[in-house]
Amino acid sequence: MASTSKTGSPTGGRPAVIVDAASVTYQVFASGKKARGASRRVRSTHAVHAVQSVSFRVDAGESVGLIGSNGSGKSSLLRGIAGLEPLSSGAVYASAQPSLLGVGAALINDLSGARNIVLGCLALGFTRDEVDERFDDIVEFSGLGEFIDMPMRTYSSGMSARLKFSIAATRPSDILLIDEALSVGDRAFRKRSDRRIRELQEASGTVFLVSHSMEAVRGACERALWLEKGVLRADGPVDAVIEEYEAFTKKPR
Amino acid sequence: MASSSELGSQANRAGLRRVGTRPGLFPYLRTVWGAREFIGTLARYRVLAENERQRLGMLWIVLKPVFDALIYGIVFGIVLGASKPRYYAAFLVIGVFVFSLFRNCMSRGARSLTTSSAFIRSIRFPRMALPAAETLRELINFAPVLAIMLVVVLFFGGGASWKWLLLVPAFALYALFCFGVSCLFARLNAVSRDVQNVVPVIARVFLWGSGVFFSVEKVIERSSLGMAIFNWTPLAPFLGLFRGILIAGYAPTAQQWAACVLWTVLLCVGGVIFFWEAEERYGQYV
Repeated sequence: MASTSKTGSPTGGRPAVIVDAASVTYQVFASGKKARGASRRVRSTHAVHAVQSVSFRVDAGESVGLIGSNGSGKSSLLRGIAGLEPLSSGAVYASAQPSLLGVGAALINDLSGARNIVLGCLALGFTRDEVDERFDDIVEFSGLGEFIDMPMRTYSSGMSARLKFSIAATRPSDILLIDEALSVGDRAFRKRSDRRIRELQEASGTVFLVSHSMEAVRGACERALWLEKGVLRADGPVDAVIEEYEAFTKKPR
Repeated sequence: MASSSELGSQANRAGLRRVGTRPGLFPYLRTVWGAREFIGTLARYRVLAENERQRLGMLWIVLKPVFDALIYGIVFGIVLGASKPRYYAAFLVIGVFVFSLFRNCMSRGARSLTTSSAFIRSIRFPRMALPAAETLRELINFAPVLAIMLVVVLFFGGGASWKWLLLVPAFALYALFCFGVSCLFARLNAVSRDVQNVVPVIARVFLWGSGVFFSVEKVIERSSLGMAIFNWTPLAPFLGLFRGILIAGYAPTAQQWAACVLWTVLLCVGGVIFFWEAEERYGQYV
């Protein structure tokens, strides 16, 4: 298998995130009959090792891309760094609370977009006054116009993704985790969100970016981590890691 | 790659904090208090959303317990005949209405985390805000129910008196009791969804076992052991307390106050600690 390239972490910098042998394991119910011979139905739990003992160090000011095929554990690792996914072993240390910018922040479907903005921002830790200050900007950014007062259940999936992104992107953070947020909405919105992500990237010290677009990773990051089946396969300068990853994916398996 | 212990000590030297760990109980409760604007807004919006989907809206919140009381009243009014407790209409309405708050907090609390899974998996906030908001939502919904209850007692329970003032501490205890129940079932149901199927069963046990629409005392008065157990069950003392405070000729007993305080402390403190103890793991359960 491909060798791990030398660690991309510059020495002497101030560490922002240290991931120490972190593993994420999901217990899922594997229901149904046993493959053969058994008539008794076994409802056993089956452990899925989404992230397996991953370690790395990221210094303040670094932008790191996380690449890997579907189901390789990128999002699990990102949620582990954010503290949203409990680790089965290992630890994550950070200089500030990392905040996850994704499109997963589904709110309450029976409520209007406007009320979801208020709730989402309060959950992110804004006070009511701060929410009022930002409210118009968020509505404008989402581009939802008059739909903002309609219940979210009437939104198309693109519209609700836009709203969720607009809410999540309001809070600048020292450590920003971006999960596939780049492919949301129509073209006009994607342009706006790309610009917003770049602003946030500049404002925050340290950025993690999960993306399937190698172009986006190359454009935004100088360092990349390649995860495959939960194992960290490579960690180093972005071009070298992407090259290794692409050679791996082209290989017939 | 650096070894584990080396990375850990690097983190310590650089003053990094561990992510995703549960704060101590009191710092945690401070973060819950810090989220009070979120809790209040969530509760209010939930009430509004519920009402906007139905044409009769807020009216249903009042109609549901009124129908319950009517049905039980007709059935048990006939069954009990002459052995009905005094001021039966007031007795029944207090039982059914007060019980409904407990039942609603239990079932809403049980679903409070599971219905907000996407929220929990994407934003960090103290998870106790969710059962707290559901409890607050039910308290808001209870306001018009309480008003009707007082009107009924005013006309069918011998009128108002100074002892009604005791309603304030009694209701404060009961609200905390319900919050504890909500927290308890929130964690139980997050860990195992089977719990939400058991909740209606538990509610029915308390409905029949706490003397909601008949006087259990009259049924088991000959058994002193039965009475002792009944007097110290979680819900019966609350019903007795509310009836004693509101209905003329009834009086709240010291034993009822003691049992209510005991259960409130047990369930509120116990429920809060029990919920906090799994705080960092809810992201995995839901």
